Amino acid sequence: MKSHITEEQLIQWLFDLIDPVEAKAIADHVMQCEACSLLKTRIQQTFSQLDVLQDDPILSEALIQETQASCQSTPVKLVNWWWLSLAACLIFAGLGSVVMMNRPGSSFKQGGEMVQSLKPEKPILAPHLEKTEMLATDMSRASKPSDPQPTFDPFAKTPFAPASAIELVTLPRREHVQVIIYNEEDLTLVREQRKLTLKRGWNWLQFMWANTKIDPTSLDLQPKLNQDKVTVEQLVYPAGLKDIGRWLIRSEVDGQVPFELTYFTSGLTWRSVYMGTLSQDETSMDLKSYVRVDNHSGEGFTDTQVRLILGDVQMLKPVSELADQAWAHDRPVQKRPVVRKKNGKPDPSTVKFHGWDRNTVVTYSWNDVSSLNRRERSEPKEVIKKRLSEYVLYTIEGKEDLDDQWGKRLLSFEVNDVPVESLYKYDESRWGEHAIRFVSFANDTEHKLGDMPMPQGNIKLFGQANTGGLTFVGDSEFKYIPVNDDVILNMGAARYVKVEPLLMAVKTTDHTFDPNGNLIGWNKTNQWHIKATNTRPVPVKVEITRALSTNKWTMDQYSDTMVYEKYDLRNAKFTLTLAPKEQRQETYTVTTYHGINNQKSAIKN
Amino acid sequence: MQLTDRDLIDSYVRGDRTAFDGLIRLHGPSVLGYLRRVCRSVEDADDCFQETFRRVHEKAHTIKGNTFKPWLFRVATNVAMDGFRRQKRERAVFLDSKLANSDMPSPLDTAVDASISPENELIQDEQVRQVRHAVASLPDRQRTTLVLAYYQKLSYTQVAEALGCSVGTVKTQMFRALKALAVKLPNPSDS
Repeated sequence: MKSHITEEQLIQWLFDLIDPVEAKAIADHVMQCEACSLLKTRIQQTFSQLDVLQDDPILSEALIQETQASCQSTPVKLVNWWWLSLAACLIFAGLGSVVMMNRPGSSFKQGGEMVQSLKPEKPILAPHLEKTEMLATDMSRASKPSDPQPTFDPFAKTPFAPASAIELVTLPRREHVQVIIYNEEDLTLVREQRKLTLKRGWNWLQFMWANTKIDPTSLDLQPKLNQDKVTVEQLVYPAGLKDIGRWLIRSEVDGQVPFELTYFTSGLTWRSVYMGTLSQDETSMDLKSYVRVDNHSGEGFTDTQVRLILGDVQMLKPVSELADQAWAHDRPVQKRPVVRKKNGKPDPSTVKFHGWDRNTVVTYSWNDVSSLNRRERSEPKEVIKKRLSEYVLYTIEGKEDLDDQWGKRLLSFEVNDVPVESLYKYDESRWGEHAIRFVSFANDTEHKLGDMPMPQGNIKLFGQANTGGLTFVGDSEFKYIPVNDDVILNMGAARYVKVEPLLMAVKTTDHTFDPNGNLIGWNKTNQWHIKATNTRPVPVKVEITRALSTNKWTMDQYSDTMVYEKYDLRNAKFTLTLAPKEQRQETYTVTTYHGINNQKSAIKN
Repeated sequence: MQLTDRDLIDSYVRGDRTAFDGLIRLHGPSVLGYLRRVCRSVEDADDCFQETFRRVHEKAHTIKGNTFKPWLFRVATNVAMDGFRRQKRERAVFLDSKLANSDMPSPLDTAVDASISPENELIQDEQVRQVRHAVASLPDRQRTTLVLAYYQKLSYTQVAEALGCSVGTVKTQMFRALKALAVKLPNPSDS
């Protein structure tokens, strides 16, 4: 090798990166070449600087114990089961994939949960202590191992903020969750209990709500034990970071402390759904009430106690808007004032849930019939209903999984043989030429109801078919029904009951003329036939409203088989009952007074 | 007679939990040193350390032969690489805008900087800081190769086993790392 060795060749030679033959040639050359020997020495000096990082860190007992603790949750596998696992995987792979594909709120989802850590079960670390440990580790290089460790006062100075993201810690998983869902507003209160492992001193805790509908202005964290020794000092919204809040916790204790985290979120809704099945003679109904809970909050809740609130709340700004605002520390100043004038209703932020325990408790049967629910149907559930001021609180027994983007329907109550009244109404001025079917009952004890107000909702009504089974009668919607109020369901146009009014004769009488011979008053008498047809196999009650063209009118004559009443100033009402498969023709004659004739005081109708 | 890795693993698989403690104490410092050199922060390294031994605990029954050390570093490397990938996905944002706006290319840079204050103020070792910066600036693969081969003193064959690649690839990565360090390390004559 006559030419000089390059720096790259020397590096490869020094670090044994080339084959032996070439290495020998380079070694021989360096032995003979002073320039290359000097270059080799310089390279060796350069890379010898790497040795300043040579020492391995001291493995702390705390880290050893944490590592062992993290392994204890998984048992040691004593037998190599790989072949059994493979077989099991083949069998369940298809089933598993189907299940997971159908579970959007499963563990694959980030939701608005907490900061992801490398090790989710890792307990909260106290940043300052970690820092102390780092300091001790670094100092160990400059001092002898027998040197005493520096003392550290964990409360010496309140930290302004964690020095960097590396000092942030994560929230552990939830121990207990309760959601309280309001039905009149897009509002849900979430109460979570988590056990935080604190170390003495200052602890930073980070909470993230990206991709959720959490109202960041409502976040609250409180210790449930050791309140005199553990205090939550601040909630910091770091500048420049969206959807992140950091709590500064001062702790005088080492170890686990249960905390309650509360916040409002939107996207969780509940509504009532009713199903009624009429009896064969349509005089009674089996009524089932369901509660449908939907979760579109961006956050899944597992093993959650679910409470439902029936009642209005006053919201200055909807939670959905608070959740969508750009920065959590924006004050909820109204850009578009949405003041709902419901005086006397409490602000949700002041609602004290502790007070509810003083209210009366009524227990009902509560069966879980949801097809989405994997719980065994054999276990009856209960709902505890409480009156709370102007609210009614429903508590679903046990715990539910409310996965994000999923809905769940639960049976609220079931009452059999509720007396109902079917009524067909004909009013041409309101509904045209169709009779409309109504089913009515009352939310009172006579109708086996009346314990609690009935939340607004949809009802689907079914009838008994002649051939057995059920027929769909129609569906309707009703508003909130207080106790002792009537429930009248509009089931739409009737197909099997028809009412046809026919004008048979018109005559005018009592003509009045002015001195010039002009007609200035007259009476008009109309004779009507009403053809009423019932093609149904059950008797039906029909209510017929007839509008008049003037305020002055008299009902001269009507069939005895009808009940007449003056409904109001311009409407007359007839009520009749049709037998099964009956067609009947009724008549009535009405006189209206026009011109100067309608000022005659003797007119009575 | 000192127990070998094989003895400790066999004992642990048979149910002797003290054997696992022995494994941690025997290889822990080396693994922790490796992870602290390749991870972005002490906390990340400690997390990776726990995760590494958790996986060792889960997979202890699958270890064959006497290749525990390369296998252990392979596990540690996989854990660390998972962390790198996740951090890139998460686009971690630092509170310190100086760090966020820094043009330092490697995550370890931030770890070095993060550990400067206040600890390194006590150490006042500029050379250590510069060497850390130089190592930290290497791409992940080159850095792990260098740390395994140079600091953990694994042979290139063992490094290849740990990284799951060929010896040739290891040598290539090592050469690139050294070539880059030759430029980035401070001139010895300056010090």
